Amino acid sequence: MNAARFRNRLAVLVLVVVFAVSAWHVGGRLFRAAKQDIVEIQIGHWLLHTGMREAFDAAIAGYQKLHPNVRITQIPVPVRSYAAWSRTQLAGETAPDITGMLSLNEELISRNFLPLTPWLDRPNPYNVGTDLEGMPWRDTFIDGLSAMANLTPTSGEVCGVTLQLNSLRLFYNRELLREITGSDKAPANFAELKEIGQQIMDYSARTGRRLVPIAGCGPYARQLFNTLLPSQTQRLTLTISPNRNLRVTSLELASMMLDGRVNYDTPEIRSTLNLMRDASAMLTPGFTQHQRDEAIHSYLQQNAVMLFAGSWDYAVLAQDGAFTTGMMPLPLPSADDPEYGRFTLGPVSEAAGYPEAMLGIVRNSRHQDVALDFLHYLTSRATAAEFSRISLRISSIIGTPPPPDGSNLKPRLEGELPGFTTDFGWFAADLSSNFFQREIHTAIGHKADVPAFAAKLNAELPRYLRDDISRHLTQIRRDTRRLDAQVVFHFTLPEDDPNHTSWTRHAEVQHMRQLENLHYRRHTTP
Amino acid sequence: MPLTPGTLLPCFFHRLLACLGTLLLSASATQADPASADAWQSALNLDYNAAAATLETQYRADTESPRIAIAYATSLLVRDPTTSQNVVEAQRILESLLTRLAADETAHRPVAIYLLGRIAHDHVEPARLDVAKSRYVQLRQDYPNHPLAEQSAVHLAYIVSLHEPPRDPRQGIAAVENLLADTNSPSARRELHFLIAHLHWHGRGDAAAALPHYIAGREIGFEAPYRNSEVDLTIAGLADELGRDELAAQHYMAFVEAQPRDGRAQTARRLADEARARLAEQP
Repeated sequence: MNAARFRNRLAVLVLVVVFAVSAWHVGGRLFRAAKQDIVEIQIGHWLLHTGMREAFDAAIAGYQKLHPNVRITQIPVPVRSYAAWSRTQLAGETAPDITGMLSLNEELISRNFLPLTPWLDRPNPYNVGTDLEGMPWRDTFIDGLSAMANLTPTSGEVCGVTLQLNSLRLFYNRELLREITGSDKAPANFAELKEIGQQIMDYSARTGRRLVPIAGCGPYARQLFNTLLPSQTQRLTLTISPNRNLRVTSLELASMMLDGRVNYDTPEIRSTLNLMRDASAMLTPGFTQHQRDEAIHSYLQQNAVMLFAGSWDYAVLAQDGAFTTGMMPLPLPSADDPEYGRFTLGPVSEAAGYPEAMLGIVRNSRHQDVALDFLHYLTSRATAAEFSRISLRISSIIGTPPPPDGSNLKPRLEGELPGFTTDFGWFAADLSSNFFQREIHTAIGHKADVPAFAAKLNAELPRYLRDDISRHLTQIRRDTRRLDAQVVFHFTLPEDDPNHTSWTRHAEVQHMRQLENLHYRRHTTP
Repeated sequence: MPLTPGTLLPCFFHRLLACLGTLLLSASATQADPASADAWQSALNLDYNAAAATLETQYRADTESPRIAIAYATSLLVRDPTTSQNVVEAQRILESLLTRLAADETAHRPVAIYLLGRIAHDHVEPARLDVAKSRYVQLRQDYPNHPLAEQSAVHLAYIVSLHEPPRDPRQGIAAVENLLADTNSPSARRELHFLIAHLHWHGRGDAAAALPHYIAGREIGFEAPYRNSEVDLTIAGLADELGRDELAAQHYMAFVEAQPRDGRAQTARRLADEARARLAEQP
């Protein structure tokens, strides 16, 4: 009886303690929020790679020193769950004041994020006294925020800023390379890379040490092929680009294949498959089944001499490797390459790189002014330099020095147009790409049979291309219908509203979509 | 009517009621305005469901307002989930509005006709192109100077040239050229030029016929981001093929100057240099 009463009282006591702790926690937050001189904002992001949280911490500390009444909290969320997390937070109107934009479409961005356009033509106040003083905020970004503008083509608004630029690099273990080849000189072109790869395999056979030239994994191999293979279609792009605009999109390529204008027997396109075979021979056997962490681990354990990865991986390689890591853009076939030279135009421009770490201010933030001020601070000359130094990544702010020993991470601005890939990666519903990847084993490995792979693609890929085009056009028709709303709602704004006149821009975009649908719909019915 | 002592009091009360009524109406109007503004803002932010919810309330409260009726019907076309019932309801609202509005009304009637054309063209499966065409033609006949009538010309052009392509593509091109001749607004003319260029180049492979229309569209100027630059490259590429080196160099360089950070900029610059070199070699 006593024991039962004790248990009941214990349960009540536990409940009371839990309630008291919760009340203290919630009350404390409310009390702090109620204090008018303290402003709290949060920044939610997925940037958990080595050095990133530390860089944010340093920027936050610097800002709070300037503004003692502001408290900024980071909410780092793993990238795998970030898309779901951010969508849930945005739908529930509980998203952090500054929220990272990853995998968000135009609707979600326009609905939930504050347009920054009005501030982009004004200078960043934190650039006073630097070479960027007086320059419009927009122009302080390497790409002029065009990557952000591309996310919201309908509204034409820019709803965020970028912190960094990504690039893809071939990292290599200097000491190991010297031990094997007698030199740590980076290969200048693909032929030299192949030669080094052969030396590594010979060394491995000779010494019994199990070494592979390049640590590979499925996702990074696709990036490698995406970088390497377009070298073979550079010249072809000049002659077959349907709009003669020095570009062939996946949709255009699919259409040309279905029209019988090109296929995997076309010399340039066949050459991409041969190049894929040769490059994959240098990767870890079975690489398609490996993930990023396994590839990095293999490189750090010195089981591979090289690693093709993103600039975002450099910090972990530099900090965790018991050796010196060098880096270079992936060596492409040079014009004098006997096998692969005739189709190339030369080194490919990386132009503005791949902007990332896109951050915006949510519409329901209670402290939009502070959030905006912090974004100004975060993207100012001094903070960007410090951020880059700590995170070991390339800043998106022009003229910011690269991180120590990381100058080769900077995108190569000079270079010719990239050609096009032939694996239809990231096209429509990925049905064609998935088929390509399912069958890729035919073209790689010891029993690589490129002609058989090409024959299979020529025979079976068209139906997947049709399905992908069909899915793509379904989306295009949906856009066309939704643009009617943009046309009408803009047109019916008062004539003195500054947004009224942009109804013609929306009508223009609608006509572009109509044309795309009508031009390609012939492929959706075999 | 002259006021007498017997009518003074009732008259006073009538006026008082009228004043109160006016006050109430203005109060509700001032409340409705922010709601309308919110609905429009939601729609501009692509939050069509929020816009539709607000507009539905306003429409139920005042089914006579043509502005709200049009906005509500528009929101029904795009709210999620898209349903055929919503499209039918939007159509009903717009048709009812058309019967109510006087034929000489110019503020809302053209928008309603335009939307009925758009519904028949792109919002119903299968498309009712006959209905769409008749609405577009009606709009162009009834309101020849209305901006949406000019847009209707572009929609009509798509129908006659690509939706219902004639056997001989030149007939489609001729039909679009006729529409172009009757169109005045720069934005509609630009789109018609672009469509004619597309029909010549992609339909018939005739670069020489396409080029003047690409140039005419480019001279008017496109509003969509980067489109001017893309068209510059197209003009340059076609001019290159036709041996018009000066034109090619000019438009390659226009691209380079507008998009110096684009991955194609160096190639465009090289092609411009090559075109200039060919020009220099000419006697």
